[in-house]
Amino acid sequence: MKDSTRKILDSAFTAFSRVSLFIVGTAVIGFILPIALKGIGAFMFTATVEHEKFLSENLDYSLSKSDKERIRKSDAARQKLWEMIDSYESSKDSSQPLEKISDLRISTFNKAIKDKDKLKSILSQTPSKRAKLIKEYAEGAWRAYADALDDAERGASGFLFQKFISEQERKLESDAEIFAEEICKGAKISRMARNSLRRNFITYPISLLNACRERFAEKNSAYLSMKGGIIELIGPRSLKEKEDMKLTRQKYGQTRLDIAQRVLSEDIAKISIRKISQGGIPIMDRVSSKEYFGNSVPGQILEYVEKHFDELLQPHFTIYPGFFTDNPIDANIFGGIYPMILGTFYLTVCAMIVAAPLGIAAAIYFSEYAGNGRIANFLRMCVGTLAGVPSIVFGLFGLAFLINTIKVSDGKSVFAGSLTLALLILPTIIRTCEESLKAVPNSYREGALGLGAGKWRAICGVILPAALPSMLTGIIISMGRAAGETAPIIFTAATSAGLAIGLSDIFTQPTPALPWNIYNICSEHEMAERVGHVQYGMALTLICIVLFLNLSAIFIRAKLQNANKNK
Amino acid sequence: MTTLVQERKNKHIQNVQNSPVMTSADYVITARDFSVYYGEYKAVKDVNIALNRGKVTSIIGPSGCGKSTFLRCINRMNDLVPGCRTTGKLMMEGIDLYHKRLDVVELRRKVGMVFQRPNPFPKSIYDNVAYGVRLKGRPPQTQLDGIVETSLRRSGLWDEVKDRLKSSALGLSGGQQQRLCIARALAINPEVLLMDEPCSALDPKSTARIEDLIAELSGEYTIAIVTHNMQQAARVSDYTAFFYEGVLVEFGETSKIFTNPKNEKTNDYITGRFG
Ligand SMILES: Nc1ncnc2c1ncn2[C@@H]1O[C@H](COP(=O)(O)OP(=O)(O)O)[C@@H](O)[C@H]1O
Ligand SMILES: [Mg+2]
Repeated sequence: MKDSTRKILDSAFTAFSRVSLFIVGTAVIGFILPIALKGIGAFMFTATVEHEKFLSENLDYSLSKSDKERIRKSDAARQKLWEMIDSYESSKDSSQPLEKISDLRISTFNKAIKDKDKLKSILSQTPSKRAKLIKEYAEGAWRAYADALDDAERGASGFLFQKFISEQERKLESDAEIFAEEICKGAKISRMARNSLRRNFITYPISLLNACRERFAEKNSAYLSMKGGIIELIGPRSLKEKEDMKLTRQKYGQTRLDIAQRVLSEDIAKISIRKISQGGIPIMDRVSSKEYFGNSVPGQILEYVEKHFDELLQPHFTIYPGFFTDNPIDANIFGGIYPMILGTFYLTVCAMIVAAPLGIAAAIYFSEYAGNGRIANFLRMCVGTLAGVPSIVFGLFGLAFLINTIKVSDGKSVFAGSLTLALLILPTIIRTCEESLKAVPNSYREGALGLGAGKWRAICGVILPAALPSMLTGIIISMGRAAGETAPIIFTAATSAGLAIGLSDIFTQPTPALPWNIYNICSEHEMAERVGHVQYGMALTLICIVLFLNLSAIFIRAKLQNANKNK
Repeated sequence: MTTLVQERKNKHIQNVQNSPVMTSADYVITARDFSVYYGEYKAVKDVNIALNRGKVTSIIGPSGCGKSTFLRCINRMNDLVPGCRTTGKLMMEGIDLYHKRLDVVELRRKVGMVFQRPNPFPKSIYDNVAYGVRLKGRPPQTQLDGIVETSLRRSGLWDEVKDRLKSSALGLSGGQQQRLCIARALAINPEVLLMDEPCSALDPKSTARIEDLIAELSGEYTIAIVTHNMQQAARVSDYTAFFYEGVLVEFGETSKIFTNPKNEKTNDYITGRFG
């Protein structure tokens, strides 16, 4: 080859390797960095006052002085908000006081009772004529009531109006009953005629009230939608309301500023309203609260929340180490990931306890005893094949064989999962250990045997210690693999929810575990977007565990080798 | 020495029973029509030789002539090579070394070996020397300390390492490592010491030390040493065996072989015409 060609090839190759290194590097950074940043956000974040409230009430944390101060300040700000809400919901500020409408109802009935004779003569007509005449009469009689209602609705901003309408309807029904009774008293009037009077006399006001309700339904659904958002943001107002809630997530507002801001922009500043479409079918529509409410009282409430957001929630930076040591509460919306960490720890360590001795024994057999015979090579091939089996197949095997056939446990258990994981990493351990043993110079074997050591003593006393550093490396790296595997534990050990289990439960109980719960929380969680930080926190924890194991493998190796060299 | 022989004979009395005693007490190792095969390849061909007690015998010859192979048969190190087999007889003090009921482990304790490349274990200096002793049981610490010290003194290493017995043997220089290996072999009190080119990986100064050491040890131990260095063979050995293509061409007192070889090939080899 000519010198120039060699140079060109050389530089082409260097350039190529640099490019590929660069790609790998950016991939790693682009992959690890976001996870790390978001994961750190799981335990170092801007919390709201609800965070400390939750911790002190559920996980026995004590409140610091500044926490108490924050709670006090936020309570003060909330007090004003609740007052606004209260006054809106019970407001009577319409131009026509609602009592007056009630009075009008009663007086209409009374007036009609005075027209007893006229009504009686109407009732003696034929049924079809009689209904028509009653309606005509009623329309005249209810004119004043209708006008007052119209007036009241136009001015009503009060939430109370809705209730008032229902109440009026109920009262109209019961009053009509009495009214019909009164008219027919002492006269020979058929039951049918009396019913017709009762019904037809109030058809008109009822239809008015219905129309009114329809119009208010939309207004109210809009208001309730926003109020729901506010409660989601800051939690229910009173202890009693808190206790009535079933789920923990309903008892507290948002504990994290980032999510609180999202609630503000998505659930408060935007609302769902119930509208009747042209076909008469109710549909939900999302609109901007500001535009919808304008300057009305709900509009003012919205403005208050937006303006006093910080006072209501008291955002402050916090470090929450309990993320790693607390149990999760209400499907990981609150609390930490302790059971998942512990579960991963159990699974990994148990898998190691099973796989390491087996793997080392097999490796010793392959490297020191088996030679290169046909059977040994066949066994080696089996191990190689096992190493290539997809991990989900191991999971199925664990379920079908370990759990269903030989019944190592009644159902999923840490033990069954560990055995499955052990099986998964066994080939890797055998291989790396065999390689390590083979890398021990033959002169060590000869030296030991030459001094009169039996084969076994030579293995235990000289060969294993010499191979130990690199064997440990292989074993620890397999441990990292076991820690991160998801598929084998899906069927054999993992449960999505659950608390940390004790050491005595590992033979009978399933456990949460990081890899499975990462999957679970982002794909099966009903509020997945609210627990994104937990998911990243778990991912970061898992990465750190695996990284820690790999680094300690490197460290142990270096340490042992140094110890061998210059003790 | 007689007690050692006695002790060993008692231990292996079963092995001895059906093997005829063929050698006089002056010969420790005796080979008779001894051949070694690697598979079909005959690496050592019908060798007849006897190594004198308490003497140094050097084995010389060009590369690949079967010196190591023969040497490694004496402590059955060739058992490690798959497909290696022997014919003929190889005896040690009347015992057939290839008898099927021979205790190989026991044999290797009687026949120590030093290899071409120093191969101390990745352990401390002390543990290296004590390794062979500990294989046979747990002597009291003081006794073990004594054995370690004597062995290191004998191999001339004591003064250099007495302050760092607990440090790793891999930190020693090549020559020191080789002397450590010799000390390690001496610690279990063998009768025979086999050395396969013990100086070929060492610098001249270390080589000289080892040669001195061999001279000191002769008389007490029966030593067989393979070497490529004619001067070395001449300096350290009492007897010399010349191998050529698996055949023992000539064997006799070193002074005679080097001054007056009977065989032409021997002459050519020691004068450096080939090899
Ligand atoms: N393990 C082995 N397997 C097969 N052949 C071997 C083996 N060791 C040595 N040989 C062969 O036996 C012959 C003698 O080798 P050896 O005794 O090592 O020679 P040397 O005299 O250089 O020490 C050589 O031809 C070598 O190729
Ligand atoms: Mg050789």
